[in-house]
Amino acid sequence: MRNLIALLLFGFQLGAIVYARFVPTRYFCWAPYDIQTDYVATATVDGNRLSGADFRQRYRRPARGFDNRSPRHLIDMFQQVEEKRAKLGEQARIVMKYRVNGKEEQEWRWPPQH
Amino acid sequence: MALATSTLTPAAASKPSWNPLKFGSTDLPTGLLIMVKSLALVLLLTNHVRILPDPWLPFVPGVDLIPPVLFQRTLQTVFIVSALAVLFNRHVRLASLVLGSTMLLAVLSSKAYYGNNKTFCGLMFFLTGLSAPGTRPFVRWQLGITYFGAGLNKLLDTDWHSGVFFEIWAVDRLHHSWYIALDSMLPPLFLGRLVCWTTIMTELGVVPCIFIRRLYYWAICANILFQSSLLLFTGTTFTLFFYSMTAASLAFVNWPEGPLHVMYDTRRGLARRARRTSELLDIEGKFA
Repeated sequence: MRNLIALLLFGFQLGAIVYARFVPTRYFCWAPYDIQTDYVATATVDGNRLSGADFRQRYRRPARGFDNRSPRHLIDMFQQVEEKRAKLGEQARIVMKYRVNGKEEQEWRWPPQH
Repeated sequence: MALATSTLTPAAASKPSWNPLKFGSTDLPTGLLIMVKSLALVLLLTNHVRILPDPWLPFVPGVDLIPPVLFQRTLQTVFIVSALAVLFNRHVRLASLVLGSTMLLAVLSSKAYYGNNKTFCGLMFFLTGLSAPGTRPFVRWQLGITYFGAGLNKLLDTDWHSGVFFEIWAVDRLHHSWYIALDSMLPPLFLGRLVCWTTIMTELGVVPCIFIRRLYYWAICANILFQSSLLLFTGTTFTLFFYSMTAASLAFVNWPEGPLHVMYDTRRGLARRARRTSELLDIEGKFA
């Protein structure tokens, strides 16, 4: 039983390492400090722009900072918070400008622009 | 010439001691016991309990339905009790399993708390708790998978091939003075590329050493040197990563179980002093 539990754990991790080759996220695949993302984000909720403190409270991240993993992890957090809050009737707009490993600036917006 | 001998006393092996510096009174192999005790001490001294999360964007759906304060306080209580139990030799295997489960649950319950360092540390406790006579060397395997994942991810990343990753990290984020000075004397990205490829080769090169018994010595050396270099260069322990990775080296060590014979010259003052010091430090009472 002990061997089985451990093997399932290892199997999950090896699966996550392979899965990470096909997606932009890097969860549970042992990729620490492999990407440097610096970003600046602004958020407006129901027409009111969030202060730095409000931003941190809502997303548990500073509005400006660095992340040492895939930028998709940041996007995941912002997006999932807003998907949950949207169910409560809140309408938010987020603009995040970011650079990956110091390269050209990219932009991500919520809600998605089509 | 005299002979100093260490002996194992059956009483010490059967009754768990409250003394955290005693390592012979539980059913865990000594190497693993030192590892989990060291990590438990790190968790307590760094006050890690304060950052244990409430459920927030969990990886496992439904965890965030649990009342946040109840969840967090329960996690913190179990965390501290099990860390103290590990430290004071109370049902160490079970306490280790519970402590590891607590940390892994914390990782799964919050994307804000999620981190490779916490996951790895939690796994060290969990896999040690899972280990028993006859089971596979889980902790060693875990270290191997961690290095394999880290090395492979870098090997397939073009910013690691070119050295751009390290250049940006060392110059723009860490503002590392001697790196910047050395970098300015070399061709563009030469130093970044050198460090990136050295990292990739170290991380992937250590994997076979972890799995082949006669290469354990090199696995331990490479692991400790690599993690120590990172610590010295960046000035950060990456929360729990440095402690957990270096402590994992203890899983490769076969602690001596039988008596140890130490030959020394009784006429030499230095040797006599060394013996007295050894006896003072001999908390296990194994030095006759």
